[in-house]
Amino acid sequence: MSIIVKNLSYKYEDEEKNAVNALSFTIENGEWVSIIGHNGSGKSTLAKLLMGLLEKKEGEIYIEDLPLNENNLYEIRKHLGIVFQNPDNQFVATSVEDDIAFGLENLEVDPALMEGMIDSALSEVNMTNYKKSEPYLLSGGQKQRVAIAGILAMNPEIIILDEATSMLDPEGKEDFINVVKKLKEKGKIIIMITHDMNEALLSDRTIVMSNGEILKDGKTEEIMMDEKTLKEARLELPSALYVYHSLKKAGYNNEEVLKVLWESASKM
Amino acid sequence: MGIRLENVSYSYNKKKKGTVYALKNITLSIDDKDEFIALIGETGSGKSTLASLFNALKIPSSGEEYVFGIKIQERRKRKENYNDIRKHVGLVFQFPEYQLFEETVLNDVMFAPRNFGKSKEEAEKIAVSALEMVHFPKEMYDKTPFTLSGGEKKMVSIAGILSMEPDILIFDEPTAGIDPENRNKLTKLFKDLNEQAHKTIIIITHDMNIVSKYAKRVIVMSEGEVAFDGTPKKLFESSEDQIASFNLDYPDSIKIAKYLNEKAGLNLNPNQNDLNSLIKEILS
Repeated sequence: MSIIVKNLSYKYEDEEKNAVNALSFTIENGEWVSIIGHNGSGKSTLAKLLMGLLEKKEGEIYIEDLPLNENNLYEIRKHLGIVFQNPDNQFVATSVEDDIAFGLENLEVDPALMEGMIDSALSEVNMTNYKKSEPYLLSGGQKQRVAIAGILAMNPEIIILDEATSMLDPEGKEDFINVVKKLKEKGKIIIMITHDMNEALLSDRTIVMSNGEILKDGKTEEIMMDEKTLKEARLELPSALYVYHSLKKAGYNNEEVLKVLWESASKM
Repeated sequence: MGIRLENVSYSYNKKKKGTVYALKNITLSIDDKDEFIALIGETGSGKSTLASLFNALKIPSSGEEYVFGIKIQERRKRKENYNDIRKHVGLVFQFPEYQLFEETVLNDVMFAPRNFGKSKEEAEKIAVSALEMVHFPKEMYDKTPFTLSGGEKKMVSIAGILSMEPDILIFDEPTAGIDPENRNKLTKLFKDLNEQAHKTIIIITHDMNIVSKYAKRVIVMSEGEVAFDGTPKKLFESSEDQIASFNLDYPDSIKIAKYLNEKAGLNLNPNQNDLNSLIKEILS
C-alpha cells in the first residue's frame, strides 16, 4: 500500500488563502509519519482530504494506484481508518459493541466473525468491561479508546490519527503507542497528526507544516534537532532536546551526560 | 464564599446495574480568589463530573454543595436563579464547538454580557477586550466560528467565558489540541488572570508540565474520590508507587532529572518544577 500526493491544494469557501497549498509527498507501507504544525497550519485539512471527507480542488491523491475521486471513494475508504481528537463526533450506535459492529457491517464482514473481532479489539485497548456500555456515559479518554478499537477491528491498511491521544491519561497513551507500534510492524501506514513533540519523536519520518505548506519533510531525528525549522513552524523542541540544546549553548561539555540526555528524549 | 462541597456524591441510575457512582463523598472548598488548582486523575476518575458540579450543571445526588452562598439542589426546590452562579463560575468545555453558536466571532463573545443586561456598546467593549486577552486576531472578528480551526475555536470559547467576568474560571483540558505557541500564550493568560486579576483558576489536565509549573494546589481524583489535595511539590515527592496507583505521569523536568541520575550517575535534586530550573541545577 502507498499514498501518493501530487500538488494538492484546497481552499475553503469564503477564505482568501488556500488552507493547504501545493503539497507533494509519497508514503510507503510500514512508514510511521508524524505531521506537525501550528493550529491552522493545514494538518487537519490534509487528513480530511486524504479521507475524502473534503473534495480536493487541485492536485492528485492516489491510494495504491487508485486515484481518490467520487467513483473510488467507497473502495478507498475500506483501506483507511481515522481517529479524531473529538471522539463524540464518530459514535453512531447506542452501545460500545454495536458501534464497533457498525464499522464492520460497512465492510460486509460475516456476522459470525464479528463477535471475536470486537472482543479482541476491545481487549487491545483495555475496554473489555465496557462492551455493553452506552458511549455517551464514557469519559473523553474512554471514548477515544473505543474509537481506536473501532479502527483496530476494521484492520485498515492506512491509519490516520488526528490528535488522537490528546485526551488520554499516561496509561492510555502508553497502550495506544504500543498498539501503533504493532500496527507498524504489520506493515500498516501510520499518519499521526500531533502537537506532542515527545510523541512525534517515536515516528520514523516527520512532515512539518506551516501556513498550509510543507516546510520540511525528513527523518524525525533530524527534524527534532532542527531548532530553526521548528521555530519557524511555531513549534517547540521536545523537552529533553530543549535541555540538551540549552546546556550546549551555555557551554556545558560533559559529553557523557549529553549523550544520556539525547537517549532520554525518545523515552519521555 | 467560593465553592463548598460536604460529603457530596453523584450517581447515575441505570436500569440494569442499579446505581453507578461517578463521585463519592467529596468534601472540599475552593476560595473565590487567588487559587490556581489543577484537577487531575486518570480517564473516567470523575474530574469532568466534579467540574460540572462546580457551576451547577450537575446537582449532587447526596451531600451538600454551596456555590457563592447558593445551595445547589433540584430545580423544584430552588429559591434562587442559577444564572447568578454562572456569572461567578465560568466553565470552558473540552470541545468548544458545542459552545459556539452565533454568526460571527464577535457576536459570540458578546452573547454573555448582552445576556447579563449590558448595552450593545458595553458588551462589544467587553468582548473586544476578552478577545484581545486570548490574542485572537482582529481581522477574524467577523468570521463565522464554524470555519475556524479547532485551536481557534477554543480561543473564542475562552474569550466567551472571560466576557462573563466570572470570579472562578474552570477549563476542561484547555491545552489539548493546542499548538505549543498558543499553549504558552494560554498558560500565561491563566497566570495573569490568577496573579493580576486575582481570579481562581481551575484546570483539568493530563499535562503534568503545566501542573508542576503553574498550579498552587492539586486535587487528584481516583475512582470518584479525592485521593490527594495539596501542593504539586508534595504530590511529586510522594512515592513512585503512589503516583503509579493514581495513573499519573511525572513532569518532563522530573523524568529527565531521574533519568540522568540513574544513567549518567548525576546527583540532581529531581524535584524541578520546570525545564529551566533543571538546566540551572545541571549547570550549578
